[in-house]
Amino acid sequence: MILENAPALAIGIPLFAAFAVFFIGKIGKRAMKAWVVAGLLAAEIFVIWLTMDAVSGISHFYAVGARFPSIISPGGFPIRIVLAADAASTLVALVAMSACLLAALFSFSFLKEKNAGEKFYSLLLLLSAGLVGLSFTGDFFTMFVFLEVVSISSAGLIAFFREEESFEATFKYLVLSSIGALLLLFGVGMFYGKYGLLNIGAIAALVAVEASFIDFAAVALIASALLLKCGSFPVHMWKPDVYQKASGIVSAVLVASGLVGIYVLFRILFLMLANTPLSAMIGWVIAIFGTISIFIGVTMALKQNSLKRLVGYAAVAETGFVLLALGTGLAAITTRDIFSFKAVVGGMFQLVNDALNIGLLFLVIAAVAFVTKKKKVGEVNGLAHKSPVLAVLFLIGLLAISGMPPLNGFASKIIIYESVYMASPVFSIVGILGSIMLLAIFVKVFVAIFLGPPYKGKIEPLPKSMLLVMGIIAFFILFLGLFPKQAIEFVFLPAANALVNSQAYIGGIL
Amino acid sequence: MLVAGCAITIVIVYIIRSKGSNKHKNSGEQAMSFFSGNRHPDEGIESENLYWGFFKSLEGYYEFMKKMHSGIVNDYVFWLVLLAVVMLAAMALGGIL
Repeated sequence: MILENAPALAIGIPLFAAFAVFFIGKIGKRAMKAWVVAGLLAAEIFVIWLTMDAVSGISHFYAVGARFPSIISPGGFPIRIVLAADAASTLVALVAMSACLLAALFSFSFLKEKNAGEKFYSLLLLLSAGLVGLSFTGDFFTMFVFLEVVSISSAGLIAFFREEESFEATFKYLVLSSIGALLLLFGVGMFYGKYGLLNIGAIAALVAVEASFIDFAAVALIASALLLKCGSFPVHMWKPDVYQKASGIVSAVLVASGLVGIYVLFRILFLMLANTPLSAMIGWVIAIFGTISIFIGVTMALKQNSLKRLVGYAAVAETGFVLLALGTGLAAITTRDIFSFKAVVGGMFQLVNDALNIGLLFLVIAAVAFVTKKKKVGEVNGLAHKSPVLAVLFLIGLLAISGMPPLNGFASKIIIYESVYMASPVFSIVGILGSIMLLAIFVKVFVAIFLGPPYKGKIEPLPKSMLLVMGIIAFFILFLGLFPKQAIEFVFLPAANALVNSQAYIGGIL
Repeated sequence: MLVAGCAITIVIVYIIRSKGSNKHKNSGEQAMSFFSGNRHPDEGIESENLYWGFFKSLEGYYEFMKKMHSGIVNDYVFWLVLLAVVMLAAMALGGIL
């Protein structure tokens, strides 16, 4: 019975925990921490269970509010909020929920000094509910609502530590998110005006038979809003601005938030365009955006003095890799070539790797700031003498993000290079150059912070909770790098299949 | 295979480590950093200077990027509107072709 309601519970539990955390916080700090971990862990368990089911071929399509919904449309689908938990959406939800859980564990020692627990955890729980909701949602209006939940909670987290510059970053984020949400709402309104529907599967089924320019214009507006959310060229500029000013913990979660945006974008594009000649045009446009994102990301990262801003640009480049792979997959979907599917597999793999690699780098930066008590991590050097563990963890992160074997970045990027090369050698070459430049960028950073004469300042011991979280991420980076075949077969193939196979999604909802 | 690989790696690391000098001191000249054979100046050369040639040859590109990344939210909104226009144009063009 409980497991039947898993899609709703995975959203509902953190949502409830977000509001109740203020009351639990009155009992004491320990109770509050236990409550936050319990809420996130319970939701994580439901998402893991749904993922296990989905990768073994059992997708869950859930109509909120009734086991057998009595109000059915003439088209035969339930007129309720529909949640779709297939292999693609559960994988993305798992990434998002894991990022929030690990961020919460990491922040325990960090927030001790700031004395601002309840509000931070409430926003984090709200963000996790929004991200899982955004991954599972099967209708456009709920998508809009969850997008707003994610934007507002993210804005709260960015500004949380109330430093002057973080307000500026929050203002930019809020303005852009609001305009993006309006574009999305306008697109949804166009669909509603034409079909009188909000259910994504039902609209996709109708678009497949009676598509007109109004449908494609609606998709274009929704896609623009989601490209903004994931930080693609030419709307990537907010990303380094925000990542630089937000805390490292918040930035690590925002990376996962951007990746959910990519998933939602491609879910809609594959559903609405896969059976139309427009898939090639839009696929190539997004692949070009991805390639330019890689180039701009790495060239701008090379010039940065601020470490967090540098990682922010690297995150733009990494987003570019996912967009390049999935865009190529969409472009070639009508020809049904094997490389197009392979590109989608590589894209889904890279999506998970982005969250791990960039997340680890941001957390190491946050840990360096914590142990040295320096606001500007760039002022630190020779830290490897006093904290070799942080040096090793940073090294793992930098080698993984640069696509060096035997780490996870290599496993996913080699699939992307191979498959994209079949479609466009130029894009593939830019991707390879991007990876090489990422290595050049992060080696410079590694040498600057960790090598050289021993760090002269005093350092605090690294808290165990921080070490545990970074250790878990490093373990998955190594695991996915050493056993990519098993990971691809077990997780990424079913996820790519679910994303590409629009008929299974539409059939599940209708 | 994996175990053998790990064992070989450990042996190689051990051999390299055993070649190291145990006379190293953490003070004096041995602990100083050098830049092209000279004492590293305290100011003037930073890690960003490492790629000076790259930045010099791409000066025009970086000037354009500087304007694009102005930090002003109005400019960012302009790029968002431009993106929406490009997406709409791509849809229209794809429909015609």
